[in-house]
Amino acid sequence: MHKFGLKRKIKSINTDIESFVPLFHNWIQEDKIPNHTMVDVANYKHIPDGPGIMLIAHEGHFSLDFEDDELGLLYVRKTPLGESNSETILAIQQILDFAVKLIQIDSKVGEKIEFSDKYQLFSNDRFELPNDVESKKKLLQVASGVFNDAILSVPPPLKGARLKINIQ
Amino acid sequence: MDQWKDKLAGILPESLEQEISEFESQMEMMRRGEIDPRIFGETRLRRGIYGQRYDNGQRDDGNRIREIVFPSGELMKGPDTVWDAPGMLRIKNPFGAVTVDQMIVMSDLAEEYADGVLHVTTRQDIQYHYVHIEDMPPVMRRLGAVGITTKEACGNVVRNVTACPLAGVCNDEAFDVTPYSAALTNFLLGHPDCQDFGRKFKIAFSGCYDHACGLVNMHDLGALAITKKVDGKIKRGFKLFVGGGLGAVPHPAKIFDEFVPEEELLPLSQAMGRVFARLGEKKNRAKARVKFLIAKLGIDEFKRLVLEERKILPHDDRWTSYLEHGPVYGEKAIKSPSDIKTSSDEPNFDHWLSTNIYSQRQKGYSVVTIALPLGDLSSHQGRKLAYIADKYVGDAIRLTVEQNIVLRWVSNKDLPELYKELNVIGLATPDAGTIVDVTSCPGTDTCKLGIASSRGLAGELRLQLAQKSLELDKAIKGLRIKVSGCFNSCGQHHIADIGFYGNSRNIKGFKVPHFQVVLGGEWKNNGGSYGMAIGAVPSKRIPKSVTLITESFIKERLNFDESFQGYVGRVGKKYMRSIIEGLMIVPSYEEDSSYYSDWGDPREFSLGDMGVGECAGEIVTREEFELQTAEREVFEAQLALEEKNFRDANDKSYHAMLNAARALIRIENYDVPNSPEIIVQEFKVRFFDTKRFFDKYAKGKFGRYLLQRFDEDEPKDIEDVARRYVEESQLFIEAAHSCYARISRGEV
Ligand code: SF4
Repeated sequence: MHKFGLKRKIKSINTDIESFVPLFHNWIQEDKIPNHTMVDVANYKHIPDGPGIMLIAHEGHFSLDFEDDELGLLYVRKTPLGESNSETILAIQQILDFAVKLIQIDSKVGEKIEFSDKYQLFSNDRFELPNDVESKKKLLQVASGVFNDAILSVPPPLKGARLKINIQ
Repeated sequence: MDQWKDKLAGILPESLEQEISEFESQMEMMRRGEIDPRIFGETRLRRGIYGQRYDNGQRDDGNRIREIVFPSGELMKGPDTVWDAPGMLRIKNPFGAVTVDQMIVMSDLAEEYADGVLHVTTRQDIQYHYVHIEDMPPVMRRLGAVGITTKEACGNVVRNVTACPLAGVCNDEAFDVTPYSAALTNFLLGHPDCQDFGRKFKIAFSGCYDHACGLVNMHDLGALAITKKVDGKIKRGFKLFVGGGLGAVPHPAKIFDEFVPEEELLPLSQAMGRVFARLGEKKNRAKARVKFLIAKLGIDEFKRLVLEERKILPHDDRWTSYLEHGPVYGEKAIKSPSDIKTSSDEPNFDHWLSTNIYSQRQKGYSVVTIALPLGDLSSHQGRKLAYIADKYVGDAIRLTVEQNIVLRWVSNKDLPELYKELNVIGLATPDAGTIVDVTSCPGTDTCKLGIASSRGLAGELRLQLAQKSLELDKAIKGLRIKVSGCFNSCGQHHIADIGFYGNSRNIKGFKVPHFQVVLGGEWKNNGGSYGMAIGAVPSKRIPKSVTLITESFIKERLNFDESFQGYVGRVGKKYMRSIIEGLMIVPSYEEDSSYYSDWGDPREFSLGDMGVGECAGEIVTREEFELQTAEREVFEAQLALEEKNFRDANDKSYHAMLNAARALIRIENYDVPNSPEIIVQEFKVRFFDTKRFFDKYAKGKFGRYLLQRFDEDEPKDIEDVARRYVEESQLFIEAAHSCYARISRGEV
């Protein structure tokens, strides 16, 4: 399975999230994300509880997401990545952390945003991991292998929502 | 292989599974280069799978036009449309109806396969953006499992049938049009008489004339509910409108008949479909909508032809079977009626109550409008909304043509609690149906034809107007703003009080995004009249133009009764233009470069990203389609042969020949029944005996394959036989293609 999402939470932000529109356009102009075919930027700032500003790429989307009021940079993988689930999640984490670094060194927004060390892992495939007890166990198991020093917790689930694990 | 196929086996209707499997075969043929991209393009459109901006593999990144190098390389999914490029999927929601289960599944799919957003369109559909073509089969299966189809959501077919979202609960309606729109939807979906149109065909229902909800005046076919006393009894029927449409040049509909009795609605629509298929333009798609056919023939002649056609239609029980037990739609309240309770501690509750609530005809109930900014809601909101709906109204959810959602049958005492719950998920925005509730087409965000950013502008207007909503004069508040990204009018700017459509102007070598200002269109009276264009204003100055126009109206109207349309008509186009004239001047790039990019898009404005639109679809004749079906079947026969399923290979290869023969016969006998005996007999008389099917060198050899196969006993299910049949079928289909080409060139 490759359809995982990983969000790196944001501690504080001192700029309108719309400043990510030019930033993401710049990533496309300068091919900033390796191994990604970047297509466009979508602005969904007007949707509360939504994906905010998105960078659409063939391999996976980045978004300055505010689902459940938890702002963070989210990366959702669309195409196969690793051999196993742990490899995939690890690779996703590397891509996400690389993107976070790009933001941190950006001259316009870098200083206005502070990322935390907390992540949120999502499974985005209801065939492989539907929202049930069995899948939750499976996801926890994979996550504990990848984030071995971290404290894992499962937020109260909304019926049918994609599975989520908090990692800190 | 789609994992959901097995999982949903038995849940998905067999016919739908069959169609999706066929589409998978066509995808496989496209991957192998065994199907004309033009035909595959129209095939996918007819399944709701639409192209999206940049899918030609090019994009202006603000500095230069660049190639987007997708992994699929040269593989295409239509003319000039790259396989891997993300696309759009349109989901048909007839008359905007959505159940709780459907809302949940649509939300799941939005996050698993699209960008996490459900977009409500101006035709009561839901659209997903950025979906990969390979993901379409599982999406279609999962939608099908909850009773949703994407079939004929795009392409040159009957599109989603729309209807007033208040149908059945409205205070003004003659009767509930829902059962009629449901019956017509089901009847025309995939109907053989509606497969050979030169362009799309849009149908709408309205329950009354004076209010706008159904907009029958701007559809190819509009049905307005009316009742009439016949022999002392009240009879239901429809005033039928035809040939209306917006587009670049709006056409008000013509009246086809003042009263068509309910039992004639389906057969007359079928007859209309046949006339449109037979006589409508097929080559020049700019002239192919039914409005042009009516303009060419005149309404009287069009009507005569339709009535003639109606007379000779073979009877179909479905025309009236839905009327037998009374035309009802099974929507019921899940709570008891109650009195309205207006007290709530929530600060914005009263404002919301004043703009988002409609008191139903049924005492004790209300319709609640959920105003969606730009028609968007996230998958998370969609799922949470489904649970809220389940608690308060059950499946009584509908999408509206104003890109909103309504919850019907809300018991009045629940309004404060419902408000609270909607507010938690960001869906309790007030000002539904007011000037703040701006509608917009996708524009340059995702549409290949978009010139200017309609969504960017609509978002900005919404933001600015919402801030001053409470101070706005009542006369202003009731106006409607609609924005289209180009002249094609998908945002319905012609019927807005204040409408805009995107265009561009060259200023000293730079391109500047502009919007043409269109004033005085009428949303009421079912889109009763169209606005007039008064001049193009740079995109960045449009909010200012709204302020100037609305201020002049307030200051200069004759009295409180003068409507905006009345005002605009009285003072005239020239005067209205003078109000905005000062805004038309564009500062030089050096003075203010912000004019040279569009709302929400920092790239320097250009038209380099425009592509060829798929709104109209490719014009592919019915014969070409049927020949393609035959090709798909022979391809599936080959696969069956590979899998050593000889029975299947035999059946499919025979069926493929019959389909190819039928496609040819249809050129001359449109109604040839789907019976092997008749097809073979007709083929023999029309094409074999006349030698029109004959190949220059092989003569009648390929045609004989069909005749022999028909005469043979049940074939043996062994490899040699199956292989021979598959090969013969392949050759027969090739010959059918050549024959079709000769006929098209007028050679035989
Ligand atoms: S109006 Fe133009 S830009 Fe808008 S969706 Fe239609 S074709 Fe595209």
